[in-house]
Amino acid sequence: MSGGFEAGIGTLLARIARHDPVLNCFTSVFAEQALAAARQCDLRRARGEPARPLEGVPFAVKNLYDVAGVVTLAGSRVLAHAPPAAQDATAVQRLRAAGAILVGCLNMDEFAYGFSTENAHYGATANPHDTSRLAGGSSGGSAAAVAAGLVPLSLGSDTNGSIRVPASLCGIYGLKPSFGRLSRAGAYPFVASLDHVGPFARDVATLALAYDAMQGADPRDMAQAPVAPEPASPDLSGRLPRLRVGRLVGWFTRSASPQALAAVARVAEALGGAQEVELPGTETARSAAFCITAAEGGALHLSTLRSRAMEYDPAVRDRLIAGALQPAAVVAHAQRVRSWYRRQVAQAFERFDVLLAASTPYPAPLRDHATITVDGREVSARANMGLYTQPISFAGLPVVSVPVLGPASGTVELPIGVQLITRPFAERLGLQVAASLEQQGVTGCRELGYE
Amino acid sequence: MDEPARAALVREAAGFLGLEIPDALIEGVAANLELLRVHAATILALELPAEEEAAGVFRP
Repeated sequence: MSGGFEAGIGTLLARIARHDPVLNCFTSVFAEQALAAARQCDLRRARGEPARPLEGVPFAVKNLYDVAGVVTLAGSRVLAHAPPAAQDATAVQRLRAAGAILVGCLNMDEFAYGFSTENAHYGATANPHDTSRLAGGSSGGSAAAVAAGLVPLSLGSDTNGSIRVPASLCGIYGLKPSFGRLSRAGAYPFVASLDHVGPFARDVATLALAYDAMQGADPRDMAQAPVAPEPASPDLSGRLPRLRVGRLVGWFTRSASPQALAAVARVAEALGGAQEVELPGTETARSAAFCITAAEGGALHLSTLRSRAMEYDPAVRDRLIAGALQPAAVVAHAQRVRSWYRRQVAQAFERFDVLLAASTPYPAPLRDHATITVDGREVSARANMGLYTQPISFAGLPVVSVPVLGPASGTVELPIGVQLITRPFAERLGLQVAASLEQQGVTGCRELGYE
Repeated sequence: MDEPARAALVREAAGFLGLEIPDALIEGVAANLELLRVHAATILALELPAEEEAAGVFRP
């Protein structure tokens, strides 16, 4: 007879088998290993051992995370014949140590370069709210799997918005911590100076538990900041200190859809109102992030591009090659812009505790016509869905993307997210604000019926 | 700039990196370079004081 955790994993594996052929979230499922881990959880419980923070919680990871014994694909065929990872990525290791059960790896844009999870090798991931629409990317498999209830928790990565964009389009919670907060060791890099790892979940408590489990120093990630862990889970009561809330305008509203504007307004109202604030130089910051991303990404792949360019997803390959060809002076200036912009942001946080902006300018576009309108021009969603996320990660700020519900019925046709942006290393405050909004019924995940 | 001249320029730049770009890729790479050129113009339009240092190992 199977125990509770084993039965739970069995149910979840059956759900994945039923729905993933349509959604295409998973690139691998570890059924036997997950069932074995669940049996261990059942045994621990039977022995009366104390439950760990994530005891028996199933999770899955974007396939750029190292999983011991598994080839790390990073969404590419280029790595498909690489040797399997010798050990888990630090984030995976820590979630397992907290009792979580790894059930599989998830689809993504190749090498995390895109906002759509339309992968030339492994197919597109569908949005569980409407399978004819984009899930967003690059962590699209991670977001869609949680939105459909295939797993309650997943990990993604965010360089320019790759957690916040799919969280917004799939209607779930996503956390992009401060740059340097969580160890990225064992996560395949894209842009070393901008890469972050972080979780997705359907509720703030699970998001915070995962975040807490992953905190802590790790000598394997040289970019990690020397900051002490600050657990967020113990204080998600929904009671907030008096907050100074700013609503970002200018760049952050210029191309926004009515849905995006309404979502930000609803969050602002729930937080007692927000003062409009404009961050100087945001368009320049976004351009600088764009060029640095292309340059660092191109440089990282240069040696492989010399010999195996034709094995890449064509759209990614062309972007990486062009990025590597940029004049050095552009990249050097972009790095100076980064220092300057960081100061503009720091000044804003002298006046505000939380800044609000839409996570995406639009809800999910259709997959067969994946464009959005920016400044009156129709542009590719794959490259531009991160308009409002890119400047924020450029400054390294922590963000919780929250799924906003409609005002009356509690539902909207398609979901959209709002970024709760706090000062560096104030993730705990962001999660407290998210918990308050969740308890007020302003944000939440819809049940989509993937039984 | 006409297409052959543009292709020659792209190939010359790629030569610095030891990259050979086949004909089939020139158009896609050139389109992305054009997009980066627009972003570069935005960046370079921001005059910064000489003492503004580049971000090193980045700290938010």
